[in-house]
Amino acid sequence: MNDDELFTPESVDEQVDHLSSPAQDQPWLLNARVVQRLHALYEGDQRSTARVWERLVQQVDVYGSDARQTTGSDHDARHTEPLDGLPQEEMQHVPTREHLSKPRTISWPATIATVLCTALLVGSLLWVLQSLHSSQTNRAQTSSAGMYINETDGLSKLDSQTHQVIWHTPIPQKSPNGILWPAPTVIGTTVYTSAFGPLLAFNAQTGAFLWSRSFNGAIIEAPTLADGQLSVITRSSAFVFYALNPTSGAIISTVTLSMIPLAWATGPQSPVVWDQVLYYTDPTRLYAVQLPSAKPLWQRQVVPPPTSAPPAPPSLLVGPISVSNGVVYVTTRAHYVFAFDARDGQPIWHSPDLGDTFLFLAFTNTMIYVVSQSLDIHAFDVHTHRLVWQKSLVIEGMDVLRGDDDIAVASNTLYVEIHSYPHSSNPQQEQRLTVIALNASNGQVRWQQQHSFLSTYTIQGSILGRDSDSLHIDDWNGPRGMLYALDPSNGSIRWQMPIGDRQAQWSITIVN
Amino acid sequence: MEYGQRGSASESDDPWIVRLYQQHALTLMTYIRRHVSSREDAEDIVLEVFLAALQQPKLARLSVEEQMAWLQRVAYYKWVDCQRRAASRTAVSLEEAAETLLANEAQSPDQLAVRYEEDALLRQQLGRLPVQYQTILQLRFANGLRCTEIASRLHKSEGATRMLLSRALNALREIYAGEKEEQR
Repeated sequence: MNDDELFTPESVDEQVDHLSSPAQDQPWLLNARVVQRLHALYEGDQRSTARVWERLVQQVDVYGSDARQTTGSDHDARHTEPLDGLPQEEMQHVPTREHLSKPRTISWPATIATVLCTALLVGSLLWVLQSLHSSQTNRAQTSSAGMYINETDGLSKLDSQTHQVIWHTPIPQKSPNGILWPAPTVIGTTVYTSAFGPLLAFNAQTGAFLWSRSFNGAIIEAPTLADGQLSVITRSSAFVFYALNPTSGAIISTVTLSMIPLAWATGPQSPVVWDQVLYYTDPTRLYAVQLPSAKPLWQRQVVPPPTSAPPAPPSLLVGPISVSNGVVYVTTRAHYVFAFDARDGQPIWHSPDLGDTFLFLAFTNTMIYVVSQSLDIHAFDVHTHRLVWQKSLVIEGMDVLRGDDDIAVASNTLYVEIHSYPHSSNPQQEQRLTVIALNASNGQVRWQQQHSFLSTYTIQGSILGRDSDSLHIDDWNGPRGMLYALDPSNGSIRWQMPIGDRQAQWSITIVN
Repeated sequence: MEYGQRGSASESDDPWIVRLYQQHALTLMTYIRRHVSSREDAEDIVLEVFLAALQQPKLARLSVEEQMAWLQRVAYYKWVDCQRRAASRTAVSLEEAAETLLANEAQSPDQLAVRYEEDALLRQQLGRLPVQYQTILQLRFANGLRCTEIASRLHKSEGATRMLLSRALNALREIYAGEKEEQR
């Protein structure tokens, strides 16, 4: 076997085995270098994974002790079985070279059952919901008005004013205990929900089930309606675009778009569809693809300004993609916002160095608001890109802006949701959720409201839309959530409503 | 449990978190390491993701892909947190640093630095390969599977799998060959 010939399909396993031997440590040979480096890389990851496992076991023991103090011994003793008791076939489900053997040798802490049985879904959500202008509300929207809530037992519609249930329908083809994650989408008189499963359609007025459609892969964006077709994008190993008949759910066309090596599945690099064009990024490029033909329109490398210091790292594009007024905005790890013409990708503008890796955007017809994770706000004129005002918010503690759905702008008010939570060394420390309303014209603080709660993890938070006269906050703390409606002029609580159940996450969409 | 199938775990499957970890931890770690250069930070993120997963026993009922999507989403939030904490992180004490170095006596600080640099470069190069190449390389080198097993897992023929693996390796080989040329 020649050690430096190309890898061949017929003998690739044997070549790899041969070159994996320590005796073949000959870095001047390309094949040996490739194989040995790959082994070294993945073995490093395996060691990391094993270390994390050991830490996880230690941490679970700690949390289990805490949980036992508060919940007593009502957990199921089945959960106390040691890890070694697993059936062999279960343990070998994903065989690896070394790291999988490590968890098997670690005794499962007896107290983990407590965690499994008593761990409560905690988190906090902020929903700032403001309505579209009433003059724009058409008849279909009016008939669809209400609060649509996904819970474990199905989908409900509540009256926005009285909070009475208008209809409730169980989710077909879904386990009663299934996880519901995305908020329902209401288009016209139909409400759609995907819930990590098939796309389901219901009559928004009656709750009657209309149709369901399964896809190979998870739906990554709320469905949209354009040119009479319902557009859905899923992701498995590639992005797949589906055009559906909105009445029947029948698939009209399917287009596999592209593979995206580094995009997070549902994170900030999720693609955006605007005016029948899909925009997505890889670490350094922005792509535009015409839908439904999947014809590539343009691509643009996002190059940091030559003046940037220190030089930008290779993985540049980390933030969300936004499209506003025919301009595509992307943010980068190198502290900049870039703007490109949505039609041809021509560069239009880039911001000055905004001093933070994570930048989140909100738009009006006249302004762009860039809020950094370190809570610096820059307001630019959307046409001239001139800096209009800037402000730094100072909140005590470990404060985090989690994403672009933590900011919203409406009625000349910029709302910012700030999660303040404890350092990992003290997970029992009180967490806070602060909502700040600023004058969108000059950045002056109109009001500030703080909600405190005790929870271990906060994994969601979002600002969804507009409501005519209410600001909605959800505080999920323990077995139930609470939906608050605040007075948008001062942040005081107008009403509150328990929501959710003991088992699952829930999500809500409010239509006026 | 196969890719794309809904999880068969039920309430009676006690150690679901173990299987979740075995199924996804390495993939998640590899994934995060492409975004996070610090091994310690990557380990912290994976730990926090699975601590969060412990609070979501219903994850066991999701398909493998859905589980991974959930884990990646939480990983993103943890990554944001990590970046945030990094800004206020205190320096490691000399004693701690010495412990770390002594724990890996086989490599000098210089060697470790070179190794980290090579790892980062390789991750970058892997990131440029098509996803199916990345997947097959991970299954071969991280999971230690041979082509027959990879074929079964990916629902491909063994011939197609051999072809993919050899192409993936040759793609990396070409990158190294290009570097070699540049060095001359």
